Amino acid sequence: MTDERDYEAWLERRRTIGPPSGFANHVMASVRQSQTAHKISLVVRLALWVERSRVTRYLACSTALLIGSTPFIFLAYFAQLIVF
Amino acid sequence: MNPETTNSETTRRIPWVAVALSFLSAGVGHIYCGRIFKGLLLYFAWFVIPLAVSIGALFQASLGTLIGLILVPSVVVTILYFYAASDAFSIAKASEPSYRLKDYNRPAIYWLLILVEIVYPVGLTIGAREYVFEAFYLPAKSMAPSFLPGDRVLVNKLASRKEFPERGDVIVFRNPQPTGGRVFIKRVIGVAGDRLLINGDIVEVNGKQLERERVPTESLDAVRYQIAGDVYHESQSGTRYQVMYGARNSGENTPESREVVVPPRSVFVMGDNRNLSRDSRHFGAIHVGDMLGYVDYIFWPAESWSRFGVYRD
Repeated sequence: MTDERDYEAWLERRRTIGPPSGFANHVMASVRQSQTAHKISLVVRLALWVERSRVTRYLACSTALLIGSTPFIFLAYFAQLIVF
Repeated sequence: MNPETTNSETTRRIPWVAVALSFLSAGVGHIYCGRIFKGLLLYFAWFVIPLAVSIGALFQASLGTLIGLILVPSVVVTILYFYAASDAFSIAKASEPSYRLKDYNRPAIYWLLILVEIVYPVGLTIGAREYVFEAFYLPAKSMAPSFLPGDRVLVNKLASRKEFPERGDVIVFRNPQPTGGRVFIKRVIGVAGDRLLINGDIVEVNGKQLERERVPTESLDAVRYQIAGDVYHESQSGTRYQVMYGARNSGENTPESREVVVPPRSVFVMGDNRNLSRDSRHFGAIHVGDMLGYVDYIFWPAESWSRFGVYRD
């Protein structure tokens, strides 16, 4: 039964030792980091989904072109070349 | 923070992502690929358009100004937009799989740049249109043969803030009547203090009849399909322009004879298509405060591209 006594003594010693300073902050920072990592992974997952096929890649680029050409559409409208 | 510093993460640059970012905003694809200086140059290329147009408005109207400072910058920026996408694709494709991320390689920075890029060129264009040049599409025949239906003209708004219109100038002003179009384009026939006598086809300014000379039909090749009447060169105050006398519009009630003295800070305007124009003969003189600007250029002519360029009489 020596082992059990040693174990109980070890437990007793551990109970008297407090957590390291800043332990709570360290845990909370880790939680925040894991949440951020989760958000980025959504973007990455979306990018990976788009990358799977050529059609989705073309679709993504076409949508970007449509949004990005807004200033040119305004310019053409102000030049009276297109009418809304 | 030094933009060239890197962190320890590595990743490959995906070509289609570079293209999509470039399409959303020229230059962001380059920033994504780590080429921040080239990216920023492409990003701010839009500034060139309003800057060049504003400089162009300060110069005397000329073909060089129209092409070099107004049309070319718009075309160059459009070409740069597509070049940026193509170049970003090439850079991303040629990049190493172990690309070391820079501090600015963050989605939040890309989105911020894209948002600003979509808003600021529109703002600059609105500003240039409000204060420098405004384009107008002419739907009516009232200024034929000088301006034809379908012409697109550029009106200099900067000049109207510092100059008072002179006889012979073509101006754009707010419609003083509750009906009809938002703005009118007409020619200044009399300025403040002038005494005008209009009797049928005859126009007298300060007791002097405006000189007229018939224009041969063969010299009207470019516009003859839209001409329905006799065309004359009319001259006054050193300005020479074409006017037309055709069939009268049956709906119009143009006074046959009229004598007016132009009030202070006002101008008396008439359309060049004298029998088919609603102008100061109907609604009186125009206050200069209602004037929007002077017609400097025909940048998209209706009938023939020979009429492209500086508006000349």
